[in-house]
Amino acid sequence: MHCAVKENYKISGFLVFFLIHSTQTGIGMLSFQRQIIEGAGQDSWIAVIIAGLCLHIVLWMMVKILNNPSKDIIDVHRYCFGRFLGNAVSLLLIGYFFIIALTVLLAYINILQVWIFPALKTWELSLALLIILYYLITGGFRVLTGFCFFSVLLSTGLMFSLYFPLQHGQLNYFFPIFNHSFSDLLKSSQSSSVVFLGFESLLLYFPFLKSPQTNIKWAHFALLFSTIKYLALLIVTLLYFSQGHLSRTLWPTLEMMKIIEVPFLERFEYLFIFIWLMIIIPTVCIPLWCCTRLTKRLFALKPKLFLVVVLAFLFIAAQPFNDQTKIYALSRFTSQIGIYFVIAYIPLLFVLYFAIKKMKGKRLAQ
Amino acid sequence: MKMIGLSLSLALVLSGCAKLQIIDEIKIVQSLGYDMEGQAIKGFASYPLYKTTHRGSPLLLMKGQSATVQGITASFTAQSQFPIALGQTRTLVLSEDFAKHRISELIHSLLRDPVMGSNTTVVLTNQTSNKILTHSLKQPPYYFSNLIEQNMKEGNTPTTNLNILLNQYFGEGQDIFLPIVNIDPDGLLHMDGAGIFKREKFTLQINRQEAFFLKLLKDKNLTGQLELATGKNEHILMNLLNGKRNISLTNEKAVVSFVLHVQVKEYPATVNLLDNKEMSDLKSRVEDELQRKIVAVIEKFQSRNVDPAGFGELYRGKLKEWNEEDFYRDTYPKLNFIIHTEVIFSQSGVGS
Amino acid sequence: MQRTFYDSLKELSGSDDFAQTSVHTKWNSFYLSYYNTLISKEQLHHEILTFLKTPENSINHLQELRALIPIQDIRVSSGADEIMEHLMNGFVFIQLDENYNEGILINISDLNSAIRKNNDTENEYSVVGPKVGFVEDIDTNLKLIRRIIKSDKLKFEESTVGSLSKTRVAIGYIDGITSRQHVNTVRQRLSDFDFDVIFDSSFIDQIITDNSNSPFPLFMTSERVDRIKYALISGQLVIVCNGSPYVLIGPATIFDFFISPEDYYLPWVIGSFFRLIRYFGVLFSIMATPIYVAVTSFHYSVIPWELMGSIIDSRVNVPFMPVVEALFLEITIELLREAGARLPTKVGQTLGIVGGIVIGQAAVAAALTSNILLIFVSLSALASFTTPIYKMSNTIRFLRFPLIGLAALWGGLGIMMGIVLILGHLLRLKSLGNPYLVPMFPFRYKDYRDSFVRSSVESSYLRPGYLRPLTQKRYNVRPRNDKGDNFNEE
Repeated sequence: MHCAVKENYKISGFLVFFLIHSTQTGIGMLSFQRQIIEGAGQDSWIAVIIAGLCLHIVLWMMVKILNNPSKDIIDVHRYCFGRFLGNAVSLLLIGYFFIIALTVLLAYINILQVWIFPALKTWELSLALLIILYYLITGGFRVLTGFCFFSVLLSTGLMFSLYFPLQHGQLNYFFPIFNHSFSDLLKSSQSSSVVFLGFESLLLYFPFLKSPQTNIKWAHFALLFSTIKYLALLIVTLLYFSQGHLSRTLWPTLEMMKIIEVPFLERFEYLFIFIWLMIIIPTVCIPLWCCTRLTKRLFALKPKLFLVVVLAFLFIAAQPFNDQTKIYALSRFTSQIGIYFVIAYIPLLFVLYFAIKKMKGKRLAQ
Repeated sequence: MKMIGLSLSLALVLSGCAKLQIIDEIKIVQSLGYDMEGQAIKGFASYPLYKTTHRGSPLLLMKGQSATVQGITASFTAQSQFPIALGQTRTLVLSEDFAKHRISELIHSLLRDPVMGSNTTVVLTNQTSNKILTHSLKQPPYYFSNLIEQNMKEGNTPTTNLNILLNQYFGEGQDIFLPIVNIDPDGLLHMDGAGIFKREKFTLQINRQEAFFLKLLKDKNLTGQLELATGKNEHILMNLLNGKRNISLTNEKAVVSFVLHVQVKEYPATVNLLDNKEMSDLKSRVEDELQRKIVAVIEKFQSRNVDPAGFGELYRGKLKEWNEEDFYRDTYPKLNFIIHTEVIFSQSGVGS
Repeated sequence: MQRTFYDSLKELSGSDDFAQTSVHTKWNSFYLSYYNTLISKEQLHHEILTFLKTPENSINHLQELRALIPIQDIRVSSGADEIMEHLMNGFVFIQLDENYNEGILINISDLNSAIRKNNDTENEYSVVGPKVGFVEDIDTNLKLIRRIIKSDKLKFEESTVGSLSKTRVAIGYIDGITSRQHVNTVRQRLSDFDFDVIFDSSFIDQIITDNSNSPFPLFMTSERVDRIKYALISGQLVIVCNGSPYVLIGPATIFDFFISPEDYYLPWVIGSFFRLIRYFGVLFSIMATPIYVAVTSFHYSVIPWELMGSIIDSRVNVPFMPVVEALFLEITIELLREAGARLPTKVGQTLGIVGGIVIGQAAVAAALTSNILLIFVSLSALASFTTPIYKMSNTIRFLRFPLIGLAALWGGLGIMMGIVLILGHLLRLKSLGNPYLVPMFPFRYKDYRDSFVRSSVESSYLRPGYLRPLTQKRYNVRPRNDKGDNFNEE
């Protein structure tokens, strides 16, 4: 019943660092600041820390469920809910990962249309991107991991460009510290945990890791690194914008890049948006890979065929989202689902899993 | 499978590409100007004409009229054989009249539009922007924006750009100031003080020296040239090399202390700079004069209840509870400013 | 049923260069068969016929005949296939009895006389270091390798490939260092494929490659002896193919292709610097023209205003879209290069100058292209030639064209899409089952000592781990205290 991944398809355990980190830092990095400050204003950096730390617990729970022996969420569902019901619950996950991929894709296309190519049609961009996605995903999980590695390198490298907006920052915008209530902080924490979404795909690729026991620390490092990255980005943003300005800016990160002028390049945000393609690709590819993995495990379908079906659905689903309000509505919806999935469902599953395990253990002992 | 991929790619290629903006087939606007004529907005755009094969191509001007701020580009398009491209616009000139009526619309449109860079500067003029831009046409491309940039970097103009402008406008506890550019009677374009707004209302105009003190109060890098009277018919000219500003705030007073490193360019002939006593005497006279002048500028701000230096913002950062309205109604006009200046003569030249 | 030599004679005698003669002495008759185009006549006269004609007594047995002739490579044979094959390789077949199948085969082959004896590594030149290159003859090549690596661990495994050419192919490796798995893979792939004629080692490359639809070379090709030796001692295997001066090295990573032997002959600081320059050259060569196309067609606002004037000025009289002028120039350069490669050296040089200067200048003067683009294109052509391995520099020149196309479609986004595809492709590639992008991905920190830069001799004593060598250490580093300045010591 357990899914056994052949040894030669497995990847080194420490690569989970790149997988988790790259799925967490995606399109959210360009625009998360505005939603976060809605609650706690200039104190919202504390909220990022809180959210980051809380998710360590969720990650720990996930690993606890998946480990010993190494398995994926489908096995867990079957174990907890029985074969039929378990599969039905897993089926819902296909929809979840699909909608995540759709949201990221649309958000990136929206950025391209707003910032660079106002006249470019959604269908052209989505078609072009989907062809690329098809090529990458058919390369298999190892290729995706490799891509995650490069995307982490790039996004980390791009963090250095924050030096320039920092030069223009006003230290005073950061103050006063701690003048928001706890409920404000909580509200901000909730919206900031949205940006960390993406690591839940670990539920499916966990069996692909070699010796997960010793390497799971890398997953925590990845989460920590994401927290640090978001924190650094948020702090620079808070220094660069006054609160009033920030609350009216849709893509603060890109807005900050507009100030950069280097001798042979002006308008750094162009370069930034293009390079961001590399960085969002793991955040689309990994969920799509999860979709194909789920169907392969549930129905023993040919993954390549199903990938084409998923991509075709993605293409069709992307078409109606032709204006910004619809895309916002979608991303709000997605982040709501994501939050409930990570904050509520996984702990629930954790409790359930261990309760059942204990029960079965007792029965066995008797 | 491969055939499907191939035909999809082909469809993409055939469906054409993104909208072309070929660099020599667009009109790259360098400066935009806005005037008012009755209720209508008159807009001007200067762009370089690269039809000759030499550098320093002539600038040309387009004129347009519309009811909305963004609408003028439509009338520019009507005059042009090429599409109008605003992505390289580096300066916006507003006439006083326009600034009084339509600045909030302009700022909102700048906030939404991703086309212009954050280093774009907005300046005011007491004359018409038409006149300013027409004047700059005789100069090489980007002369106008470089003039402004140079003055902010090295000269006496307080630094501002699109980002600072938007921060001031949408943030709390600070007011917009915009540098003023005028043409003097001799026909020379020059930086001429600054205009200060309360929200979107044009409230106060300060002269060139006052603008320099505003720069001292606000800027990150303290630079510029300072001419001060040290006595009857005695003047000293100093180059500000660098400096430090420290502001400490309490409820009823604000203490601003400066440490300025200056290079003395010219000083009264009666003073011997090598003499310690005369030197310290001159120093204290300079410091006193500087102090007096800065206080005068701040008092001017207080009297019109404008805050371009952002003291409100500093108080906001200091206090747990802070309300913009209360601050400017009750606290700011009565705030007691104490200025300490310390001038350090770092260099005085190679001869004595 | 076994075919006899007598049966095949009919086929053989169809060719006019096949000779059959007999020598009669007072005791014996000898029947000789050989291809006179393949043997050395001198040897036949002096070392065979002389002895055949002056025997002191009767020869009744092949072994006696064998003892008579002073040539080492002699074997007794009776199998028709074996005899045929040896005749093709320049052996002479001597029978005591015409109708009897058995005879001896004597090697007096003259195959090498038509082959050049030395090669100055003109196509892979390095200023410092040995100038010896491989030649077309496999024995010479193996000799060249063995001459320096004097170890009994150096093994050559020979096999024959090609149903018509029967080309000798040798897999060289060092026992106890090279991973057995790689050797087995090559052996397996060589024997699995049926091919007719191997003209060059490139055919072997294409037969045993992991992905034949990739523009990237998956095996290193080199005619330099020092490079092959370096590959052997680092744990790679080499494939030597008769008739080709190019030896294959596998498994290769993409970074191997930008290594020049000179890097190791110069101080490591200098060597590393030039290696970095080469990497920069590659990036520039691939990206320069596409970026020009993207920027001038879509993203005018990223150009600093100081540059704006000169770029527009140079383009203002050009009537074409940037992509058209870019393709025009790029194709011109490729034509020049192709022509230069096909023409005799001296003419080629002249043509390069004529083409480069005259055509370039004229194209600018006629306003077909812009000055700035001319600079970009020629610089990127120049940069592509810094890649030491010819096959890779071809790939680099090729990659530019799809990128230009994508840049013309979606500007910077198109370039980025191209890069994503290339990167995805590189991640998929494997050479002999080894990832192509290693040590970049899978990330191996220790192997960075000799990839982008080369570190000093003291710190690069380990073989690259991604080659899975059986022995990690290449040599021992002993600390030496007479190196460097002793600061503040008596």
